[in-house]
Amino acid sequence: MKKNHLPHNNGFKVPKDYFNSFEERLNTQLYLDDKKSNSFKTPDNYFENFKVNLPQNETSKVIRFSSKKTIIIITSIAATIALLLTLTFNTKQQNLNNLDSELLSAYVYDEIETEDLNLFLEDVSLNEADFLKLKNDNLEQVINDIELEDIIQD
Amino acid sequence: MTDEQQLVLNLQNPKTKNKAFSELVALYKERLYWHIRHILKSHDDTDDVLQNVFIKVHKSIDKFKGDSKLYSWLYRIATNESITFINKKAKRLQITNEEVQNLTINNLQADVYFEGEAIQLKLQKAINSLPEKQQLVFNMKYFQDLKYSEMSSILSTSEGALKTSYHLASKKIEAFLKTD
Repeated sequence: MKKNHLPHNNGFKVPKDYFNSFEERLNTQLYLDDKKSNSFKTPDNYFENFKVNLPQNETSKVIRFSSKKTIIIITSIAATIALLLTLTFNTKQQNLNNLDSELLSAYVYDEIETEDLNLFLEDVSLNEADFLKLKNDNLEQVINDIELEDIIQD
Repeated sequence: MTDEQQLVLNLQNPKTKNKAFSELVALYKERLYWHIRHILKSHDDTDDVLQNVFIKVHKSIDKFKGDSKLYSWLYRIATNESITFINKKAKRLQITNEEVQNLTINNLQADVYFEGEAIQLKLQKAINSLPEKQQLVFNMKYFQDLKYSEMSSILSTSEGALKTSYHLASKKIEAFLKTD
């Protein structure tokens, strides 16, 4: 059929290149339709036995334990109880006088470093003048107080 | 009032909800199953997601306003749940979504619920090579024979764009199948 014999389109238009690509699209479709087959299978009677297992809490209202408000309330109650128990039963006063001396020396020996003890010393170094201040009678007394074993140990 | 509108009303009425829900499941279980199955490929994964889809529908049917058709709403939930399933699997295995899909395709040969010949396996590989949206469009048109108008309301894409997408997908798949 020659172009000038084609029926008048009456104003209807087709997308650009529609007829040029029509055959190509048709062939693609025929090719793919030929390959069409549902290879996916289901277990026997799957659809007949299919049942939706709705969660139990769907029908009854359950208060969520993990809600923020619940957690805050529970924590507050627990803290109040703990505080009350502490104030009621822990009335024994702790001070340095009733510390067990053996326990204290064990703690000092095991836990405290020598450098830490320096913190308790005044930052003043001894010099020769400090010794010259001692009067003769005091010096005599000091010498008398020194134990022989102490000298041997040093 | 159409049957679908009546079904929605019954689903939203607490007195008739359970009966209407059974009707809904009976009506859509197969269609939704195949929609999900063509995305996920594995029967077990599909079964899990199909359950989730209906549970979600049961929970949120009161929020359905009827702006779209019920089947579009169901298909949208099924599509989203399937994609979420792949995302979660990818995160759990610490691989990409594409790698998850490749893994699934590789497992098809050993799948007792896949009985395809070599060409069918190659077809699945070809589909898997497409971008995610084109895969959806191709599966919905080729396997489920959905109308473009239906696909348009499910995927919120114009019919023209869907036709172009399907055509592109078909060409790519044809080329993939014709290579050795």
